Amino acid sequence: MGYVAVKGGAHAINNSVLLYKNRRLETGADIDVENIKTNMRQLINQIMSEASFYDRDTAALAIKQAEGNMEEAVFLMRAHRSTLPRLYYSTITDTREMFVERRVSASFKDIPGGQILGATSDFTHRLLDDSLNKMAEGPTDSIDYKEVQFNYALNKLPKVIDYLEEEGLFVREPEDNNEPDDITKKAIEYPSTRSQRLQALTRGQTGAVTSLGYAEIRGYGIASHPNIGECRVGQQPVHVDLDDGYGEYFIGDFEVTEIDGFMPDLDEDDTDAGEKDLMIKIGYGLVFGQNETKAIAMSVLDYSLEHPVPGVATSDDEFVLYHIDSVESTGFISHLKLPHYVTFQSKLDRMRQGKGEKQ
Amino acid sequence: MDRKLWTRVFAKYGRQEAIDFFLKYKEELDFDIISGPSEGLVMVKTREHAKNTLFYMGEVLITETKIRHGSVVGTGLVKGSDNELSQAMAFIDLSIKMEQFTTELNEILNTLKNVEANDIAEKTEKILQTKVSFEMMND
Repeated sequence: MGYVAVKGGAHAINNSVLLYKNRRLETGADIDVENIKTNMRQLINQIMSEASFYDRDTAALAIKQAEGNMEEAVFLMRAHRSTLPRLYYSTITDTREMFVERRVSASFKDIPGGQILGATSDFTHRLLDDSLNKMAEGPTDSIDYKEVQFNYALNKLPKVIDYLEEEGLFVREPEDNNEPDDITKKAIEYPSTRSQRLQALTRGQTGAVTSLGYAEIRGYGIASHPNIGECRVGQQPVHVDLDDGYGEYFIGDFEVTEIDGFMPDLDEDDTDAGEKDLMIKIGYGLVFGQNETKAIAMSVLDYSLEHPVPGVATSDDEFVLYHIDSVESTGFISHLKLPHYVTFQSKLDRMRQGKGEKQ
Repeated sequence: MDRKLWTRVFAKYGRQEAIDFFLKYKEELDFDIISGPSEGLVMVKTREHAKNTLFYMGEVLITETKIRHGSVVGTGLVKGSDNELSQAMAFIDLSIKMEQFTTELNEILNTLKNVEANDIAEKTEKILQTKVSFEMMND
């Protein structure tokens, strides 16, 4: 058989789409996009991060349309993003200006400004809460207020690395103001640049970034886990400069999570004879929304790609960066279920031909 | 007038005040619409702290409006999809550049700056209730 029909599915496809769209409302009431935005904050955070596109309203709509399917919602966000013009590049944002809503260090108990837990599920019991079966009118429990000593502003909180720098345990690199590469404009070429790696990691699929980060520290790479020097979550102001002589223009505050992962490493600049000193080096993570696990894993992979261990997959930029993108990986895997009649028939033909030649 | 300040204060705390200002004074200052309001993207350029280099962390949705009076251009840039605020911000930008309605704008700004200060104080107090006091853990 040399030919397989691939036309004629329009009727079936149209009805399949209708069935899919109708299924959402067949068993219950519709849900308001505003409700999704309010109640599914963390899902929205993940989707915005993986889509590399920050807008809570669009993400909530994508979740509704995708029936909560993460990969589909990210795809919808990326597709919508591709229809919009890029009007500006922001001025350089620096998380030192972040309005910090949560900041913890797993490395030092006493850090300037203290450990601020903020809003986190870290200390909650993982038991299902039956009370959520009922609709609540608003927050049910009020905060217990006490006088707290604090000598900082939350948008000027010093970073933990400043403390290490003062002790000579961390050396701040000179500011590098070279324009970063943009992987949405030009595909990554290997070996990758640092800006390409960080951009690919921050928009990576949460599960993929986490799994590869876990493999790296579990035994397939540095086989040692970093100490989280600082995990901060907060509102990052973003500005643009219109070049009209009137100064920077504030666009808005955007929730981000930042991780400085500390790795003790040999000081390559130590020229003294004998053993080199140990210094702190950083693996860096920064993602849209409150996505702490992903940001930590990003910092692990940043470190592993900056300090590669030969022969280790998680140190191989091509292996890591090519496979963590949600749309690319889920798109390729899921396309396998779509008709491949012609290519498979050609394989079958070769197999049959081989069998015939043997007989 | 410090643009970084007034854009922040209006965008975060004075959406309705900005729109009310626009509706009240828009007939008193001639302007043509150049473009918008229309949606677009801003790519966020960020400094990381491991090597102090720059990278792009992703794009944010904005709404942009551009208006002009003669050769003076007023720009309205706001987070998300918000045509009304974008138009109002463009009008305020144009008014400031043309030094129009300065007293009125300063009055609104001063009120909003107080709203901002109160909001920051309130948020700070709430967040600090989650600050760990290690001394108290030994009690």
